[in-house]
Amino acid sequence: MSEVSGHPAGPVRQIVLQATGFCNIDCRYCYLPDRLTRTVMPLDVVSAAARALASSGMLDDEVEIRWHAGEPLTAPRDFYARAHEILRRTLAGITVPRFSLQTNGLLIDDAWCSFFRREDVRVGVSLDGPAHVHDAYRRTRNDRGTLSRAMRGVERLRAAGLDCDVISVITPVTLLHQEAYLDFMARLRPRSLGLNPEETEGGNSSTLHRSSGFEPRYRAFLRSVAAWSARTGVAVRELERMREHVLSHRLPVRNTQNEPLSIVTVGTDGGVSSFSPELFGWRSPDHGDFVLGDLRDPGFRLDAWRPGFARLADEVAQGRRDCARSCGYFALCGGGAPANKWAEHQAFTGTRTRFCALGVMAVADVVLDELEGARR
Amino acid sequence: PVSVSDTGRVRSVEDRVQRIRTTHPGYTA
Repeated sequence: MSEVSGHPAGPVRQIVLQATGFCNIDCRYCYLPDRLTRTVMPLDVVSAAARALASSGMLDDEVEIRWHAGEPLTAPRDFYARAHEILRRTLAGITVPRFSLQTNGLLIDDAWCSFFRREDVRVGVSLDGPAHVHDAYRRTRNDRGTLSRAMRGVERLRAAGLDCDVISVITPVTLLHQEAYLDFMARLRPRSLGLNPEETEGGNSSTLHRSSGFEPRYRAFLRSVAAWSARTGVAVRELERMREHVLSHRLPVRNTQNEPLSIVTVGTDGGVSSFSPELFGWRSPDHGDFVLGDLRDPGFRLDAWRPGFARLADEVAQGRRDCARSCGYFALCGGGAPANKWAEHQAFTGTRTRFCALGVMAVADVVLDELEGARR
Repeated sequence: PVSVSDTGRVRSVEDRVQRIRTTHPGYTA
């Protein structure tokens, strides 16, 4: 582990690369700004990122490189082939990159499936459930539903013998149609199912947070999901992680979102950020654009931070200490995510967010109750 | 925030974990 501006930093566990900020659909809960900008990351930015990481001394034996933040399949396949070649060549002998991406699924065809197989890319698809749940929020720019086209993409993956992870955003509509949601996922049988309670972030004011009694209703939903997972054998990401933490990890666990340079985010324009990937693209009067530096700057170093980012790191560290001191769930959480603290409280110091209550505390209680029940 | 258990008691999360375990760093995001 290195030290930067008085903070322990790294190792880099995940690199989030924004191939493009453009998205071909217009989900009602999206937090990303500028989803109409069609710029694709120049290959010299990819090269500069690879060189900066290779010379940082902060890489372990493996690192996840995740194409995200925008719809990655709107960028050309040839871009990814060349970017992967640059990254593999530059990082050879230092670390093994593991490529993954998160897609809305609409553009998956046989050519993309061949690419995923050839490049060993782990694919995640964003699916919220049956049409009356998924299409309530995941809309085209012409205000039409997207499920039927997304499922055609999933069918192409299956026809090619490729598995996929699924992430669902859980909204009030999901909670109204829990049985239909779980039946849909039981038929789909993804490699793993991730549950993201709809968040207040960026331009989105969560409809979940504005619905009545959302905390107890979300907890009841999670208990149903845990029973469903045991019955169907479909792994639920949040429950699996929490079980591992409870049964076998050294406590307190570490939240990579509040550890400097554990996650490194690179934007299409070469700006580099860390902590929660969502921070990239947001601005604040006190911190500027949450960017630690620009890869196009000849003197760029991962461990030389702009003043605004150093201030951000100080405040995130204070926020983590606040969590450690005052929250009973810190041992299984590692401290609230900076993006949620900023979106809900306009501060990185301070503690509990509504995301904490749903995304961590409720999960912890369901898993602890389940394992205590298994003891009896 | 406190954790309420099986027993209806308020117990610390650490206590609940220890009790489960008695019957590797964890990274998460």
